[in-house]
Amino acid sequence: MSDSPVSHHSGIPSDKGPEKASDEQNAQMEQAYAQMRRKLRMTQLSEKIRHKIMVLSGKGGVGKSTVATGLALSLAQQGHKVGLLDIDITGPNVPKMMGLGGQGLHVEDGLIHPTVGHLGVKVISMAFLLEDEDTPVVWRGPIKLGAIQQFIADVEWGELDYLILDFPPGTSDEPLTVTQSLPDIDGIVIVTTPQDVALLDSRKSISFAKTLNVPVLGVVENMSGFTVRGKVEPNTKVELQAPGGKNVETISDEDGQWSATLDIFKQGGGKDTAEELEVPFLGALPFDPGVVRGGDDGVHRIVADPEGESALAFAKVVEALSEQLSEEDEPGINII
Amino acid sequence: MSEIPKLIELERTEKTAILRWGDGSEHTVPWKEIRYYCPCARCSPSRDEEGRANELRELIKSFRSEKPSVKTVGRYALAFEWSQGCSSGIHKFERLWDIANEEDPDHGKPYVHGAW
Repeated sequence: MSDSPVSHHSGIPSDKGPEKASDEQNAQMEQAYAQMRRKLRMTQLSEKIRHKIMVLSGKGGVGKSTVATGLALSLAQQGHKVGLLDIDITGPNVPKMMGLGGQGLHVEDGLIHPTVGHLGVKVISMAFLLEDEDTPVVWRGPIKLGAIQQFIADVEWGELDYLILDFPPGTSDEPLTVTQSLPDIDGIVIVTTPQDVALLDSRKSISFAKTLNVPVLGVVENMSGFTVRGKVEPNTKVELQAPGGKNVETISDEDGQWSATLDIFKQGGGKDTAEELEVPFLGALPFDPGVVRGGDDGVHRIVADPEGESALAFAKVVEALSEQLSEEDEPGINII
Repeated sequence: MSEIPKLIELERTEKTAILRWGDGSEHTVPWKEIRYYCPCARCSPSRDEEGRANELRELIKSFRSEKPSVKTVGRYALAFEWSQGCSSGIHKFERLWDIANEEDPDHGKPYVHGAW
């Protein structure tokens, strides 16, 4: 029988023709089967993972990954089983913050096993696939979408109390894909800083969440205020020139210690936005240079200083978040 | 987004979807009606023009009656899977409410790619 391509269209079985067609069919069947398994696993995720929380921001640079990592660690600190999924495919930072830089992915039986970071938090990030951290990921939408679906469904998370999903800034493909792929998402936490531009973009994130009918669990204001401390004579008035031409006054205590919080950007912007858009305000996180150092060194502030100001602020945010979750813990649609 | 009651329950029969809503109302909608109003990029444009809309109706009529599998999409929509025909549509609750109330879920707007 001829090897000519014509024989494939002749309808007459050839030695090689049917075999080739069969290979293609097998490949298609395998692909369809893999897709079916993925869908099934996505459905099963609902049973294994109690709460799924998306962390979004309209604007970049507001500390979203720091907040997502902080929420994960703070929840883990309270004894919960937590997973952290870094969906920021083009700029994955979470592993560095979790002290997991340079790690790879572990695949077993066709499933990706998360890497375990501080306080037992299970981490999955695109960074684990990069050969070096300076290499950018240049993917078009459909490839990105496929990678995200794989990172959701093909990961052996095990039983989790919380899965925190960290996204790139904005309201583009990534959060849309996740809300369409992952069933029963509890809601979205929006991270902002108290600047008009950031707040404007947060409003967009809130509108985005409302369009998708995903509840907004609340707004977190990051880099909210910077606390300065010093020592002078006991019971002495200290006057500081704060940003924006404001004067801040405080009085030292009996040991001469004083502290004052300066609003680097603006005061209460996140809270105002939350009130204006009728979504909960989960709390404010202080501007803490230790968070930046910790992020760079791979030891988050919560791990390095579990009783510190940042750790306590995160604990308060987590408490407010838990209240929202218990309110949102209503049953979904009953499908018969 | 218009305020609609929360969808509480979906009961699937061979030919119909019984939708039960938070305000106590209940609607029985033929699957074929839901399939006709599939919001996917392939089916939607077919409803823009009468002739093609009729073709779509006829095509859907030719499918055998079957109970689809269903999954929730986030907290805002349902996706149905049939063994034949299109299963791509993500049916937002607002659309299902409109279909149940015999209103046009497209609100007379021609299909524009990406505008859902």
